[in-house]
Amino acid sequence: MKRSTKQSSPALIALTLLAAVGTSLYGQAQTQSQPPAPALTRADEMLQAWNQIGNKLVAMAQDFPEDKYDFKLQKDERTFALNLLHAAALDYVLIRRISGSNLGPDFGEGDNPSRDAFKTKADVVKFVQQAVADGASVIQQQGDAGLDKTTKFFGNRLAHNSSIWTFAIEHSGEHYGQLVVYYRANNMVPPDSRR
Amino acid sequence: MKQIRIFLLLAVVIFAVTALGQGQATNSAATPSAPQAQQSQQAPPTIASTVDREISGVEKQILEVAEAMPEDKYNFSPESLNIPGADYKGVRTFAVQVKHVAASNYFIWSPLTGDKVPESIKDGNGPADLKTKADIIKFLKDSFALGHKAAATLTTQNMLQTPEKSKSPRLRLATFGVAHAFDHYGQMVEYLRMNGIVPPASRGKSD
Repeated sequence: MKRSTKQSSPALIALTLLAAVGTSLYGQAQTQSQPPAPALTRADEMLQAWNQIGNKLVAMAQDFPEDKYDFKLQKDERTFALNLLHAAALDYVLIRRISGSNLGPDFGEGDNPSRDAFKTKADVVKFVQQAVADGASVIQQQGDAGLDKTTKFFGNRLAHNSSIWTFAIEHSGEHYGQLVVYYRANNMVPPDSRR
Repeated sequence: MKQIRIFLLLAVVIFAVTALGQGQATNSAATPSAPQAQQSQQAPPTIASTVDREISGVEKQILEVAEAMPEDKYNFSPESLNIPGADYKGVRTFAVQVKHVAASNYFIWSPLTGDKVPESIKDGNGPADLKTKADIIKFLKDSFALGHKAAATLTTQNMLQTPEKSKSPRLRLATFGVAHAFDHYGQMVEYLRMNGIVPPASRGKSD
């Protein structure tokens, strides 16, 4: 959530899009004078996307004041902390399926851990960090070949691991968007928007 | 004696129902039923169809929240609630959130298709003259149509290549559009809830 007063500046819009999708005249000029950098592997691409959203959630978890961790805007929704715990827990549900292991801490059944198991801000931060790091390790270990393997996904169907990783990344993005609104409700600017 | 017979009969019925249920579960996991068998005869998923499915997923969710917000609330921003201790000054209205997603879709996906970004899009907030809910939703739908066109260009041969006017590989661009839309979907969900509207995807469940 960016302020539209700032957004209405075409320069900022252009800058944001340049940073986001990597379009730049500078890049084009470089492309003409230098040999192109080798393409990343698919696993490296996935790893970048995974770390990008994961680290945004970690930054929020670290940044948000502990005494506001139980804040929520409306009664029928998750608190700040429960949003983070849910995002990380779903990551683990999927990481465990893909890796066929039992990585990560015991957070009970499902993907909505209780604060009882993660009482402090430090506990929540650690859990989110672990989920991002463990997912990154599995992506790296399995490489491109791992992305083409299939795993049982929701709805009792098999899905390619690449689709499952992408689903987890998108799911984290959705909860990141909600937490952006929680930030502003507390007169705070989300870490990624401090430019 | 009669009670024992009834008990045995019940035990047989329960056993039969349980066995039938297990059989069906096993069938659905291991042996395709008729519709599944039909599905397996379809072409296997490709990189294009896989990404297209992702785009369809976020398209459905964003369109649902765009439809769920009443037109007279399209200019809602949390700033208007004057929440004590909050600072929403100047943040996007609901309408601008929708237009931002659509405009970004054009910027992100057009390098894949080679299409020109429409002249009406001057910045990331989309055309300023789009005011009605119907027009804004049409703009959104058109942007996702470009997304489907972009997904269709993906092949295993070109997905790691960088298209002209971009530094990111095709696959990254295609999926970044989806991830970006989900970020704003999360914000739009909060805008709906601030207006007492349960997001369509959350109706009937706690998530």
